[in-house]
Amino acid sequence: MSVDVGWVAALAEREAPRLLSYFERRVDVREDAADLLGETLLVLWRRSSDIPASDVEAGMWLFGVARRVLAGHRRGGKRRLALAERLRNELAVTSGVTDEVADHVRAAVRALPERDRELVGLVHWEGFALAEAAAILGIRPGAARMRYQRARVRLVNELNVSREAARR
Amino acid sequence: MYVVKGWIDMTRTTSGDDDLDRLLDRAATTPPQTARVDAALAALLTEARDYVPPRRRRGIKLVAVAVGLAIAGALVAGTTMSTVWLQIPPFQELPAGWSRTTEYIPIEWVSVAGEEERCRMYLELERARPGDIDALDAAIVEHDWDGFGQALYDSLPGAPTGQNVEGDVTSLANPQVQAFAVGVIPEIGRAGAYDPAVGALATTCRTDI
Repeated sequence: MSVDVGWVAALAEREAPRLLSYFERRVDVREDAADLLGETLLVLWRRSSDIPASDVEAGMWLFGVARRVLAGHRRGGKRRLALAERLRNELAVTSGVTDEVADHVRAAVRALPERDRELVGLVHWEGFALAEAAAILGIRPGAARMRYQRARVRLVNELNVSREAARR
Repeated sequence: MYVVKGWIDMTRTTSGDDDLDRLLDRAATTPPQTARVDAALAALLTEARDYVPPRRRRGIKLVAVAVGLAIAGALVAGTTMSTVWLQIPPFQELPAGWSRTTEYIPIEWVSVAGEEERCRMYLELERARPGDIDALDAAIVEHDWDGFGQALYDSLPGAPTGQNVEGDVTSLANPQVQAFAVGVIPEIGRAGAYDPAVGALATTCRTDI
């Protein structure tokens, strides 16, 4: 099947900022997001014949790739890409405003089991509907709802623990 | 110790939900992208499009791993050994009277070669009663499987690589998954003639990206 290079390039351009934010929210070292984005874009082009035809499904497919790239990163499969070096350097010198509350909430989300964590992130941070997030993760909508509710309960409990700790 | 104030008021349920949504929204913020970051991002997009790999990586590999229950025999006396090959896709039809979970146990690890391996293990029951599969599905979803596959892989001797690793890892999973099933449905452990039994653990593995 021939690949519409222009369409793939437009998909990459449209989703790259979202993907960069996706990685930035999930890595400990911000500049690692550059390598992960680079890795994801390489997969996008290498597997361009596998991309679903619709824009919405293509975006979901791409976030599925990003999730697997991130999983490899978390398990120690780290790669430094030469083509991501410039972005890496820029991210390293661009610091954001410190927000301890946001940092702590992100830490609480990171402490969730992997799929629960991804559900919460995809829904609240990437703006996917719960059913779309379920499709990205390859789980049934019913299971996603169960996981999502469980994750919310855990987050409430975790963040209340923090409040209790602050009172002591 | 890191301490933060002002969290969720659980005395008001609705407000607690709203508070959580508000906190999650706040945590979505990422540093603003500068013009230099934008330029670097544009360069990365171009370079990724034009990138030519020095050599072709191994493509997607779909492996069907047959998982017998020889090991499980130690746990469930009287269980006959069954082997199921999954044809991908679609899965092979089940023998008459068998049922398969729709949820799967993720068995994932990164090999010493740095390749991500992902397997999905489904339980297949003989003589399943109404509700047994649903109970197993719910328990599989509820259980935290993070690190399960990596721990199995890491327990293999040496630095295992090659085509048989999937089978080695999933075989190691058998007794633990059997025990998990007994924990959900104790009758499986009785191994009576009319009791439900794990007929097979059906596993599909793939190497991706």
